[in-house]
Amino acid sequence: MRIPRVAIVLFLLAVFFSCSRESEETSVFSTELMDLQIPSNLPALTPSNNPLTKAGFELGRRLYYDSILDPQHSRACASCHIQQFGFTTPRSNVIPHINLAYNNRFLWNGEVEGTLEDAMIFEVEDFFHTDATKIQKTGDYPYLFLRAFGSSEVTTRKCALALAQFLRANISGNSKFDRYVRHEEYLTQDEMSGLLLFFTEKGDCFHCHSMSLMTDGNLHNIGLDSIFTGLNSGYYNHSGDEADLGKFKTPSIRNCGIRTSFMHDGRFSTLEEVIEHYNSGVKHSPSLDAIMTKPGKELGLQLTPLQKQQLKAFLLTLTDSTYLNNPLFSSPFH
Amino acid sequence: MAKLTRILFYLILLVVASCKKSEDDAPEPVITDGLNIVLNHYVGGTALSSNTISYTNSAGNNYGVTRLQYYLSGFEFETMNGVVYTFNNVYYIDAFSGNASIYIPSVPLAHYKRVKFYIGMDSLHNITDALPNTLENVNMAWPDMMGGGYHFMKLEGNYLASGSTTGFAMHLGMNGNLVTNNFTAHFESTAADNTIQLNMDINEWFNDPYIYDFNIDGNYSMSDSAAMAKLSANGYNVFKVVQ
Repeated sequence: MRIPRVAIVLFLLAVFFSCSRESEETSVFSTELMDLQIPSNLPALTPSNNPLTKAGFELGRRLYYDSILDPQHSRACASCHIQQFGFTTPRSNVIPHINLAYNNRFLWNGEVEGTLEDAMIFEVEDFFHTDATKIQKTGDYPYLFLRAFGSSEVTTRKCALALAQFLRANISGNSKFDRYVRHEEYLTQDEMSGLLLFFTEKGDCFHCHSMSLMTDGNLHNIGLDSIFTGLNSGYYNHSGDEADLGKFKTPSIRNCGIRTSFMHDGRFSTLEEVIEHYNSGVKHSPSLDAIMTKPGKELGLQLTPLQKQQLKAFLLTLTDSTYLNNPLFSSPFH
Repeated sequence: MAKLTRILFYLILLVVASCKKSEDDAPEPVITDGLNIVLNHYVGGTALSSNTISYTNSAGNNYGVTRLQYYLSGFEFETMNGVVYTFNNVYYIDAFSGNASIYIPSVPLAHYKRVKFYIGMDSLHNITDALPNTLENVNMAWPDMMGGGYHFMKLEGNYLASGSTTGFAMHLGMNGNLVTNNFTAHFESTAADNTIQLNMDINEWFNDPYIYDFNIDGNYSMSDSAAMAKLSANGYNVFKVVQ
């Protein structure tokens, strides 16, 4: 058989270029994992099939701070979830982004259930209605997607996976309270008294704001209302079950000391108002959480002014300034 | 020319071979002993469902269940020949989290006549941070300020009190309230069927030896030692084994 030399040369060239392109993509694709240190007093993260890589985290961070997710370019995730305010917005009902890796319910009324990836798919596709083709044509995004996922093709699913990687790494576990739990720091007498109120039946906060995430991730009706309409109906709006009226997801109260709005509708603006709700403002309804119906607490916690002050002192130990100022979680555009 | 053709042939072979995905041999199925225990939850003869006040206990309380989370541990199985196998693992169960089941490896295939286990965990395990630092265990923690360790059980729901709905929270913890279930249970674990059903009747928590009435004994047990003692005593009989 006689093969023309030109055909052989062309074949070899084709093999060479196909291999070199593949090796170029392979060399860009980075599977280097993030070295995520979980504080010893926080639960271990459950394994995920979305490995947390440095490239994925960096892409997620870019997307979190870039209004490109929004087809109108009017807002980014970080427009409402501002790091210095605990990834929420002052005087708003924006739910804080904190330790989301541990969650399997999302949004105030808990209507989005599943993994962090599922929640981010909801955010990208249903909240922002992201146009992947726009991102495909923008700046170095194709390169960043190639680096994170081994392919420069931009999809909404990949956007969600990258955002999930960024948020999975956003771990808060270095408040004064955390350091106390790890025997690294002492609490003051007032803070300690507040802790005792918080973690005993007197205050009974711990059943929902459980150690150490300060949330159980579940839904509860804490007696904010006795008549439910509109958004105040909570999980009922999703389930249609009257037993779910007024049920909302327990927010983490980490960094509550720097917030200026509380509850799903931002009805309270100070910690004093929040404490007073539990102290004297709980409204009864059939779906009121069982924990809120303890005998003797029909009239509220009946805390003394000093106890309220001590409870607040403890709550202020939950501020994690390391988290609020961690440059890893800050905008990459600055 | 023939030489060039041969080189080209080997080159093609090389390219094809390098492109072929490496396929690991499928792992051999591992056949082990082991017992699969499926947890089922009933109230009377009715399968448990959440959020409906449709059950009645021996005290006449009309109630529904919204949460049932608990630990099982210290499993002990006795064969017909009197050989006893014990297992120290602690298992977390959430009745409303889908299929509740546990698998205990290395339980020999045999014909058994007795089973024993704890609802909760013994004092060696009932210590703060003794269990793996998982989300479930964190949410079951019994605060140090109240003695430490873990809730053995959280049974919560609503009941009708004087015509209006109110909540109940039957929380059980503290070493003195550990519940032991120890009963005759004939079942045979075989290679073809190594699954048993462990059925909890929630009404039994309120039935024997003490009739527990939410209106009299209280709708909130944590920190109420008398209420927890009654629940603990009643717990001896809440499970049955079915194969």
